[in-house]
Amino acid sequence: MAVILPFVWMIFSSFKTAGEIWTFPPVFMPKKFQWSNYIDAWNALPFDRFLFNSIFVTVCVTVGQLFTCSFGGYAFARLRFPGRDKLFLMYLATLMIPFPVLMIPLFIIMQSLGWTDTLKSLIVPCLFSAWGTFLMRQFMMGIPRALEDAAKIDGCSYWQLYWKIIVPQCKPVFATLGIFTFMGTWNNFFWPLIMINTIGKKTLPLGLVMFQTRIAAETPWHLIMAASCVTVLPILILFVIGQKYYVKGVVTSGLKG
Amino acid sequence: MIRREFLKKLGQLGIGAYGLSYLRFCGNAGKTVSPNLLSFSVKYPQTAWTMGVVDPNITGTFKIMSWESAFQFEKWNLIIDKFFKTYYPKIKVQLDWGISFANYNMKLPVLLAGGSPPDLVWMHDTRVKSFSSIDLLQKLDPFIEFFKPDGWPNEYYATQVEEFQYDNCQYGFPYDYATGGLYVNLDMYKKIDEELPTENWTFDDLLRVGKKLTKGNRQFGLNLGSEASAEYQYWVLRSFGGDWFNADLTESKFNLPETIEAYQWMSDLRWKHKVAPVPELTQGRPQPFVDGVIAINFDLGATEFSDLLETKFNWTIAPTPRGNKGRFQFIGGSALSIPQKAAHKHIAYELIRYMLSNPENLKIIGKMGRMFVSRMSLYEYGLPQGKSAQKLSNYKKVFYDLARRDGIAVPFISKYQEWEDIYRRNTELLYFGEELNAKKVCLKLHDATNRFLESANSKKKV
Repeated sequence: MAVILPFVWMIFSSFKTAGEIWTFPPVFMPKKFQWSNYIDAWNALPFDRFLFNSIFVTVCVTVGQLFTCSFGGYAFARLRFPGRDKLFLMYLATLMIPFPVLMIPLFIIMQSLGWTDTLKSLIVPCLFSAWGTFLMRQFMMGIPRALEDAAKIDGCSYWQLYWKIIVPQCKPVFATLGIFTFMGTWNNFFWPLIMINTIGKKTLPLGLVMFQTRIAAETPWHLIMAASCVTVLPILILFVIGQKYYVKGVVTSGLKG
Repeated sequence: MIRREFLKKLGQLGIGAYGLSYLRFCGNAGKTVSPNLLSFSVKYPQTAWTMGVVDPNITGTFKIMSWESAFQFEKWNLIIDKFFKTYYPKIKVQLDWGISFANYNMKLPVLLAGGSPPDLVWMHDTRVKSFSSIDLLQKLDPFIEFFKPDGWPNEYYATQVEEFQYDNCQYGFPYDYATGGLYVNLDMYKKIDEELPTENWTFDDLLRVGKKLTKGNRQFGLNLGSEASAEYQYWVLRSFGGDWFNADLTESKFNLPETIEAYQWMSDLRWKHKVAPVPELTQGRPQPFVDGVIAINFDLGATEFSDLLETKFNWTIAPTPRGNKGRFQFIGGSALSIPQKAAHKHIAYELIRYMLSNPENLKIIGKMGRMFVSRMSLYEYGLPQGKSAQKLSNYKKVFYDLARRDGIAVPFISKYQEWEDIYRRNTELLYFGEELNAKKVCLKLHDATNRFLESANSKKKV
């Protein structure tokens, strides 16, 4: 109930008038359902553009991370090369660096590449994930070596081993990482806030706060709620579809993303 | 080198005919001035709103960053669009707006530190000194000297002009101002036999009425200066004769008996006289006055204005009281500034001047905004319109006349946010009733503030 209530509250609030939002004691149900809130919110800002940008960035990052993390995970789990474990530990250690420390150097890199205010700046730095690589490595280490040995005897190259043997075995971890990455990227706010300056390149989370004013009472919360309902829809659908992988991911990694 | 070549070289260095003249402006006399070489060579036809320094056919991108929301930026957009279409038609304008205030204050430092500043930024009075003290903002004085804005500075609130200065230099050009007043629930008020508060009322008068208006935990008479927000309390302690710092901002004044008395008065409203709601009763209740829980509430002009119109009770506004040491009224506001490393400083200044001193544009900003514009002579465009104007006949007096007469600049020191954290940590003890003796809190805050100021000032000297 505690989890679902804010969500239900958001849905009902999206149909309230601006005045009803501020009523105290709060009213749960609107007196009259204001369907126009959805139209007003959609018309006030280019939410179709925000939606497209969010989908584009999220899909690119998710697909990209699945590739890079699985490559990395495979190398760390299966290939033998000098300093492998030390390199892995070093890569893993990057998880301990808080984002605010990286923010300005990363911003300067993006700027020197001429990528500020582009969707590339939201995609490329997010294509690599130490956590995702760790997840993949741990899963791949559990795959029996006999499968690979048999494939090697049949003449498989490393690429073929990866693609034909390892990847099919890793479907559950791909689904888990995919869901986590999708959710993280979809909800990512701070990095896009720093990098994106023009309205046409904003993602949905940035679009939502464009309604917010310096004085809370002036913010059209009813429109924000309506826009939030639309925003949350893709992630909700994905969660419903991939629920079991999400739970499995929490169990496998010990992290909640 | 012949003279023409020499002048050309100077031009390339950015030192034009007027370039060196600004060295006599603001700044510490003994400090080595690192001139941010500005050229004011007039090479193109001047207009009423352009200096003739920049080629009207210039190309490139002009970046503007604002915290204004989707609905509030409309007025600015109209003016910005007109300016560039008229004077610099080939410039592409990049508008980054709709960033909430908190996020704006996270993003701007990253852009400035990362070397990718916008050309024009919105700046709040609480932050201008912090930014300018570390050379992140451009001094506006050379521009003002060269191309004086209409009505500057006499027609602008002196407190605001001062608020956007650091080291006697102007770093922000004020565009709006917010001031405080009392919102009175008339339905509650008519049940007590009292006149409405005037500017001649004392804090004791207000407390007396507050007690009459309080009914247990259902109705509170007074909510005044009891928020934990530092700047909204400042006018109260000045009225009592107290202060935060000495005049040159090097020492704390929290040990003054008058300062302590003011904080004790504010704390007692809630915990001794019980005329103000305790935090538990107002948390989660965004606008207790609008909900009909508070009879007299301190707030900013225009803050609650439109929301109050939808309420079910009769209400009005009244001036804040005077203290033993006079009457002081809170004034806060925002400005436009130019980052130190902006690419198009001249155009940025021209745009500021065009937006904030051109009466035609200020009328638009005043009418479409919710606050008065900073140019005093155009106050009428910030007044309520239609039915609200009739209902609030004293709006001008409370939020304009008295603000102009008694308005007070809050001493926003550089690193104000850091200091405010110290302030909050201490005064919250009073706010939440964990400590009822204001003297204990003030003396602790006095020591902490002195340590802070000493450290901040020693770093400044270095």
